[in-house]
Amino acid sequence: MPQQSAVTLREVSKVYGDVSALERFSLDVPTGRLVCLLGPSGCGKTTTLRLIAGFVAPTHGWVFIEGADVTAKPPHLRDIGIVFQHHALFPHLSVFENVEFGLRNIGARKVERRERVNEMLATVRLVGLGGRYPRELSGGQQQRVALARALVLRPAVLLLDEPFSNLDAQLRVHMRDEVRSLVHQLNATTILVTHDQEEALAMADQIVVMNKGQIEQVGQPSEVYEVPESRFVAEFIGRCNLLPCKSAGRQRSVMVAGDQSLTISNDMTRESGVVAIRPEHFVVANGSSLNRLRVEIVQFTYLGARTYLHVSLQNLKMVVDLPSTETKGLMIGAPLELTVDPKFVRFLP
Amino acid sequence: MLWQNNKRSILTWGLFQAIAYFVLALPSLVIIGASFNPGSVLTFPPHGLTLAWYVRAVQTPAFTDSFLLSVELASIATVLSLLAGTPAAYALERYRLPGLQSVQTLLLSPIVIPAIVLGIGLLMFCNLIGIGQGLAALLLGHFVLTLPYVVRTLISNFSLFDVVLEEAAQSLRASRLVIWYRVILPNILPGLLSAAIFSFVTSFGNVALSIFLVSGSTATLPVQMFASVEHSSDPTLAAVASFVIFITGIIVLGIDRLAGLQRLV
Amino acid sequence: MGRFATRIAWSRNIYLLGLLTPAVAAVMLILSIPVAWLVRISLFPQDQSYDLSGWSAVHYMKALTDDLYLESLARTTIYSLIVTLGTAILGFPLGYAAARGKMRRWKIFFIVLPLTLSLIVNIFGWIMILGQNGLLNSVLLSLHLLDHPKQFLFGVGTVLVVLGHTYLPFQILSVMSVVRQIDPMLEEASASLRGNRWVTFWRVIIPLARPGIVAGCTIVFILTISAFIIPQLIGGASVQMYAVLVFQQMMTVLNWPFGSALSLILLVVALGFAALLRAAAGRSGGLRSVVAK
Repeated sequence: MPQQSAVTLREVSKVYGDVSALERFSLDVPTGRLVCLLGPSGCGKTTTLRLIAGFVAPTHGWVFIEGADVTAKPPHLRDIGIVFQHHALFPHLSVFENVEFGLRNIGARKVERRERVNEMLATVRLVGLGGRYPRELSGGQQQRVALARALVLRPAVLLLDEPFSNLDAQLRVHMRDEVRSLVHQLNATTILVTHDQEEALAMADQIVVMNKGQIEQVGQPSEVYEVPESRFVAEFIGRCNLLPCKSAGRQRSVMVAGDQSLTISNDMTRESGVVAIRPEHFVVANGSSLNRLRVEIVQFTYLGARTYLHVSLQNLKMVVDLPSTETKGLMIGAPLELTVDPKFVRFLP
Repeated sequence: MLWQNNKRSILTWGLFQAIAYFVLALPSLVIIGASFNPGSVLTFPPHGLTLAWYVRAVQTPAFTDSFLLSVELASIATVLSLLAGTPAAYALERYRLPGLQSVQTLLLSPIVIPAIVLGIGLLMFCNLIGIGQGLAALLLGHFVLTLPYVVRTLISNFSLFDVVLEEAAQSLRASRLVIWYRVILPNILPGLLSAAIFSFVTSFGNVALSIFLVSGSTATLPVQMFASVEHSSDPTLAAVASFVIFITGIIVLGIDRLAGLQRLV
Repeated sequence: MGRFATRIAWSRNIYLLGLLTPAVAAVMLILSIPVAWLVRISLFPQDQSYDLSGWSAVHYMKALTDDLYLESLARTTIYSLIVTLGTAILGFPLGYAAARGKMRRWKIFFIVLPLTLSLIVNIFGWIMILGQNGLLNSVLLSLHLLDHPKQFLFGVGTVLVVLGHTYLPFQILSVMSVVRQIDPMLEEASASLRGNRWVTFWRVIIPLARPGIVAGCTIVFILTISAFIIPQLIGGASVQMYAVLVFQQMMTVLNWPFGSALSLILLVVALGFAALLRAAAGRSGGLRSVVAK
């Protein structure tokens, strides 16, 4: 029986007719951590969340919350809190009554309820707004009420279902930081579902990259970004060049674009595959001849501090992200010599 | 639904609904069954199958004449309601002026007035202005009865019809009349049709109001049936009633095909 | 505002008027004038349908003091409340299930069909079920629960059942259309906040569905209190509902002034109760705030 994990999913499958949303999926969510389920639509992340919440029952497998088997339990008997995508605040209840809702259901007395609600409203900085109704609040305020409502019950796990997708860009960034510091402050185990990789990188202690009902990789944001283990992860998180390559005969060396050889940072697991190089890892060549590539500039876009270049290496297309100070005077069609440190070049099968 | 997480509750819920819908349909089922019954006494369950009563029904002038009258009446009332109701619905939906809410209440009020009060009122009124009972009185009554349905259906239809199309037409030099003919009407055609059908069935099946307005020589089909129910127990009536059920059923299915019942109710 | 703008406003107003006039004129003519005339007739002192002249409130006095009519009004009101309550209780779960459950299209068909079907067809069907030779008797006889056919028609209970059956679809549709607008996620939110079925039901769904419930009850109440065809054919002489008395006075006894007075009293009571219902329940924030997404 898992003890340290707040939530455990074991060998969970969820099948809808012919479609398998999740297949033999297992996951451990450590207590007190913010774990992000990241992936494109249809990857099964929302299904996973709803399985943990209890709105959906698994076809096979088990769900544990704080060590207890809740697979057969309906949602209202699970120790969860959930913030929905469209916040789902009760329109006919005031802010105070919304936050108080769950406390009434678990039998808390009036005095205790008032205390806890007010405390929570102060924590989310909505003091004085208890008498307002949801429709009178801004998007960010509504989101905070939804958080308060879920957190006031001190659930074993807080579930966030793409909570920021409805907010405008600036507000989204702001709320992201707020929520992160809030759950850290309360030491609340949190599972966040999102398709926005920037959000995942910014908020998570641990990212679970999902694709087609399977886990592609689990790791800290820096691990997932710098050491992707599959093409999918490399491309989904940040931007990445994937260049087809073959073995060059020597250890940790590959051939790309016919006759260019590159030294890489990991061992090849197959005879051929791709190398992954992130655009920002290229530098303009200055003498060192290791991993030197001669490319032709196809297009470039000036973005202020950085300049983004589309280049071609023989027939391969690549993107390169260089500081603007190094790209002055460059023109379309001109050649460019680049190098990249081997530690930033990874082989992926 | 949230509480469908154990088999037993799903079963009881389903059973409850099945029984309820069965009971709702029961009178119609019974009538249809009895209409095929060969016995001459109105009984149920039927002892056999026969179309004799349908034949009898078609040969009874009381029923055929009143049927034709009902169809004629419903058609004229529907046309009138559409002519008056469509522009009114448009005005109520497109313009946001303070007095319009009361106008809307007024136009929808015939539904709320008890049929007996309306019936008596119209009877007295027709008496007063000298047209007495008969087709003219029925027409007045059915017109005011069907108008609210047309208005209501079309208001919801117009609310789904984006005003930006009309604005685009205006920017292309179209006058108001042209906008009606070439932009509005073609786009609300399904709504018009379903409003027409709703109006038709309402008028066709109406009995509470019509009872006050029929004369000896002009009876609508439902009123004729009412008289038959009171005075005889002829299975021919069952055939007539079944016929009404079939027609109404087909018409309602027609509305569903056209505009989707879900969106109208 | 320049003269050009004023001209546009005028043109718009005339257009508006043109659009509305036919319908409004029709309704005013065919609705308001008859009702006004009815009021006038009720104030004639005579007890007949011809040679009417003069002014008097004698019929109102009689209607409001004669025991026969007062009792009938009271009884009819109580029956209406019973039917309204019964259909509300049955209609709510059915309406909810129709809004949320499967096979919605078929359910709606089976609800709308009885509504559009002529009242007389419905009554006829019930007569065939409850009559001496009817379905109920046949079934009970063949199951040996009865020795000889029993007359199920002609009783208060039967009338109320038939009234309820006839008007139940209104409640179902009313509830269904309002529940459709309630975001299903609110029910999930309630469950996630430790709310079991009952809590979700009472504290979330019913408050938000209140406008629909009120609308349904209003319609059913008005229809039931003014019902005269069903009580007459199904109930017989023992069930003297108010509208039946009105009908008798107008069409059989031909005492038009008195009948008119009775009908207007009925109108006032019906609409008065409707207004009361709305006022008592109309405090909700309106459905606009509840529309999903």
